Amino acid sequence: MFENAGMKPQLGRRDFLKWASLLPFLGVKWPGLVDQPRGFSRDSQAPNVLILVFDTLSARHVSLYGYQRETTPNLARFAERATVYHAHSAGGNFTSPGTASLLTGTYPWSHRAFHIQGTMSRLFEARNIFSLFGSKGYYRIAYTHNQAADALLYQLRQHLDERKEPRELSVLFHPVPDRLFPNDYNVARTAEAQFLRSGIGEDLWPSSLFLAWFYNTLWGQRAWSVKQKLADAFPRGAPDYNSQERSGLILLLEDAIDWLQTQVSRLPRPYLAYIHLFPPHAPYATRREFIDIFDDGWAPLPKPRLFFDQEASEEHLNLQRRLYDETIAYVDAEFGRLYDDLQKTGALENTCLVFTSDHGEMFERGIIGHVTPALYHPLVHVPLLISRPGQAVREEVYTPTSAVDVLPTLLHVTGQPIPEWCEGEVLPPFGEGAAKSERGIFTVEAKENPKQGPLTKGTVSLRRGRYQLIHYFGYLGVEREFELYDLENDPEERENLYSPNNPLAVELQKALEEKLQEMNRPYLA
Amino acid sequence: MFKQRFTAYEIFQVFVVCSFTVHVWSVYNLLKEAPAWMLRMSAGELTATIAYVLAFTLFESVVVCLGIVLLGVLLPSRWLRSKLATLASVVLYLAILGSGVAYKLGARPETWAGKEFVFAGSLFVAASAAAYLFVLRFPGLERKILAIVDRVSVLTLAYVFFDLIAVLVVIIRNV
Repeated sequence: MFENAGMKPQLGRRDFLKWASLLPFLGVKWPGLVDQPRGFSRDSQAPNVLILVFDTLSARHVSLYGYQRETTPNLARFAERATVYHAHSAGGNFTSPGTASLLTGTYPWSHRAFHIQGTMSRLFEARNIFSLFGSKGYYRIAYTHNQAADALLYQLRQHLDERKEPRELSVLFHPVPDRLFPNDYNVARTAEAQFLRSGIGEDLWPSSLFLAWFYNTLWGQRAWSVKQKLADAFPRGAPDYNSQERSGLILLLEDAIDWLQTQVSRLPRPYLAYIHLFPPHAPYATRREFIDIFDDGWAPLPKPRLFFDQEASEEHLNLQRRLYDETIAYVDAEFGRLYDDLQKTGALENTCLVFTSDHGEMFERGIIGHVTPALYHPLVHVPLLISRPGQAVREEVYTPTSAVDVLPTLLHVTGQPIPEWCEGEVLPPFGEGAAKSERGIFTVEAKENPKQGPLTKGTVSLRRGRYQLIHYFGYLGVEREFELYDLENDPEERENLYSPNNPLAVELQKALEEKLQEMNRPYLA
Repeated sequence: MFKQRFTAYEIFQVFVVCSFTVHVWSVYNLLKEAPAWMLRMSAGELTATIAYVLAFTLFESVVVCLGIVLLGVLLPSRWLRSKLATLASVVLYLAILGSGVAYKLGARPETWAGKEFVFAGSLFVAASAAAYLFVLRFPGLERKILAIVDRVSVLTLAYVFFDLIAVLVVIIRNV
């Protein structure tokens, strides 16, 4: 057809028809070109892994761990076929560090996601639970309600087969960058919030002079109408999880649980599912049937107010504690619904189910919530239950464990090697040489430090055996302070045992400060 | 219709006023937040975040400018008498003052019902009209306002130059 060199090539009718006969092949879904699950060496015998994270769930408020209010009867049912970890610590005291420790098996001083809405160091874009399970042929799916956790999942999206966006399971979700800038969501989200919705502090105003007024008024109207519709089911207010930050995230836990039930039967096997749900995080929006179930007049004994007192009255602390406890009961009921479904469908026979939280919450010493430099036990102690496929009996582990141990343990359970960069250990009772009681376990709060700099202002706690040392450094007026508690004899942390003359305190202090220096060294060079 | 009512220079002046005030507000509030971003962002992320905000600000400048020009078309020409830049200055400076006071007093528009928004909007329109009439009564004041417009025009062009770079950054990050 093009044999006459130098002449303009012409496509004849017959040639056109010949080539046109190839057109149907364009519709063929060629292997490797189609957006299909990336399980090249899929092992159908490998167990599924379902990680269920309930945000801000302090183990100190969970009846399974001895809390005096019966907050978690359904979790107790699940515990009958799971391993219950009684001394489990979060990696940090808010979402970003706590979640990143779970996802990477490293402490915040390594992964560096220790700011609100912070992301991990780029090194961990290749070192995380999703990349490791992907190489084993797992189908990987992740969902979170929480935008701080979503910033991390977005950062790791290249290793996810499915990342469900917070918007998809929300009743109301108003940030727009996920639609306008899907390729640059984390940066665009911060800019959009600054432009239209700033206003967390009294002097932080939106960068938009005019549009913010229209946008926020219109959005407020829409949120109000949604809240009106939910008022009957949620008389204390709709579950608006970011009202203070004006992000307008209203969601129902029930929707997420319903969705999760459908996913468990739909997902290709084996799968790794990381599901991070917002409740019982503030605003403690409880469904009607849980309201006032703990209106029992109980008030714990006040504790000493040593550092970072927010000056909340004891009455207010106790009221907030009760609202939080009632929200936990609501969360537990929804978890019970999921658990029943997993049992009914037999999903637990081939699934490793992990139940945990990213950090705790506290209502004592004048402090409410978890946005604080403090690292007391209610903020650090979170639940951990792991049910092996087909596990039928309950097991108890009292050895101190950490969020950084979850990844190596899951790797071990699924027959994968543990990378050397991982700072955690395989948890008992899984495997030989499992985590030892006397090793040091750390929790790090460092949100006022630069991401790529040494930690010079923050709080680090070291748990070793029954003792917990808390070290505050670099704060104005709290330049270098310590607290030491014996959590076995004094689980409520009433008696500070720290003294420079206490040999145990000196030993723990030395270990903590040496570790901190070691982790700071790369940033001091 | 535009050519009959406004010269190109008048529209340029209006854009200068809108762009300048919208940028001053935007950059001022951006700088209050940026130190917190510096802790958690790399230089590239910080640059990109600022680029987004500047791109959004350029968009707002254009929208506000078009709104003022539209107002100039809709209002009887004898009310304006070639004083569109004066009107724009009055409206925009009052917007900065009003927004600052409102936010300082804790205004949260997302909690407003429709009537509160209408009330606030009406108050702003009435204040703008009163301020405009006040300025018209004092030609010296009006001359000073226009002198400011002339002086900030170079700065405005610099803002727009950075905005265009910002738009380019946003496009590059999203293709």
